Amino acid sequence: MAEQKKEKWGIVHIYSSYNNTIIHATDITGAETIARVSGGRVTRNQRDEGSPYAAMQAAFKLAEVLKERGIENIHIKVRAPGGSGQKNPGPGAQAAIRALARAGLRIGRIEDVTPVPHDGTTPKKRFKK
Amino acid sequence: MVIIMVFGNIGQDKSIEILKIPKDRVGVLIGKKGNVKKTIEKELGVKLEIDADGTVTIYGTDKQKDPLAVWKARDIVRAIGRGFNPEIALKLVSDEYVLEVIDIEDYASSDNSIRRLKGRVIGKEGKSRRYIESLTGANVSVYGNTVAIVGEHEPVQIAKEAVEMLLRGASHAKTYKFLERERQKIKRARFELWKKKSDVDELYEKMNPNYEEIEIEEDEDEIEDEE
Repeated sequence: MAEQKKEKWGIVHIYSSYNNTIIHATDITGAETIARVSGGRVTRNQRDEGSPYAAMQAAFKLAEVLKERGIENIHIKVRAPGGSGQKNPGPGAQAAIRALARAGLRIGRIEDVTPVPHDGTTPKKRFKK
Repeated sequence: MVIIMVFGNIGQDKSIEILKIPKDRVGVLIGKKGNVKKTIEKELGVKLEIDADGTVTIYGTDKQKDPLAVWKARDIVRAIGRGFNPEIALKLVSDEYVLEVIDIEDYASSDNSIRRLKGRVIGKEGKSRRYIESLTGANVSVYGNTVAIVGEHEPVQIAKEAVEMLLRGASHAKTYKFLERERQKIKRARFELWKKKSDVDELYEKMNPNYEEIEIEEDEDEIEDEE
């Protein structure tokens, strides 16, 4: 059991909409931020912030930071804006997860934590009936 | 410091997904002699448990080569549950394919309205739906109170927009014009895409000194462990 303690786990929260992807790494409690990278930090064009390519680059950057801190095992929580808006994670989510796996991090549970409204607010025009 | 693999942990890492599909789609999901179910399990390295009432449980296993396997399996099952045939649903194994589900109930509340809107999306003798499919390249299925779309990411967004236009009451002519316009944009975008691919290769080279020696198949990725 002493050996088990040497393994460090973290949580990577991936917020993925069509316009941007934010990848946020925390400790296991979710309260302490280790690093955060968004699509806008790795791309020059604003319209590319949400692209799978930007998500991939952001994930690689985040993976580097995580390894520096000695975290090599992560759980992943993915979400889309949810609520009155988009309910499926955007194109960046899959790309980011794959990039994290490819960067050598070991992946634990992958959860979709998109918020679900319990009747919520009025949707924007394009989501409205 | 050497990190020692603790195998007792592995069981805790595996994902489980539980979802429900319509009863009359259970047969399609299992397939003749269980072929479809076996194919899904084999392609993704997951295990499916299917009940007669439509409850599907997806387990991750040690065989899965992809961290997203359980997620993809869930999408495939959902796609079959929403009216797609297994051949189309299995395209979701690839990274590039996505599934979108639009709930018609978001646009109407009475049964008559829902039926009317379904009719608008399908069109006379299926013309409208076929037109959307041929112009975007995505597959569209209308089943129950939903419209489901499977295809590559960008075509799916366009098809989704078109369907939503119809559900909101836009005329068919206007929708078709929209599709034509977007089709032109896609063609231009594809031309630009090949430039970016070399950037991706460059990026992989940075991450992994041995990248050039690794053969990557089109639809499969190898998971590397750098411990």
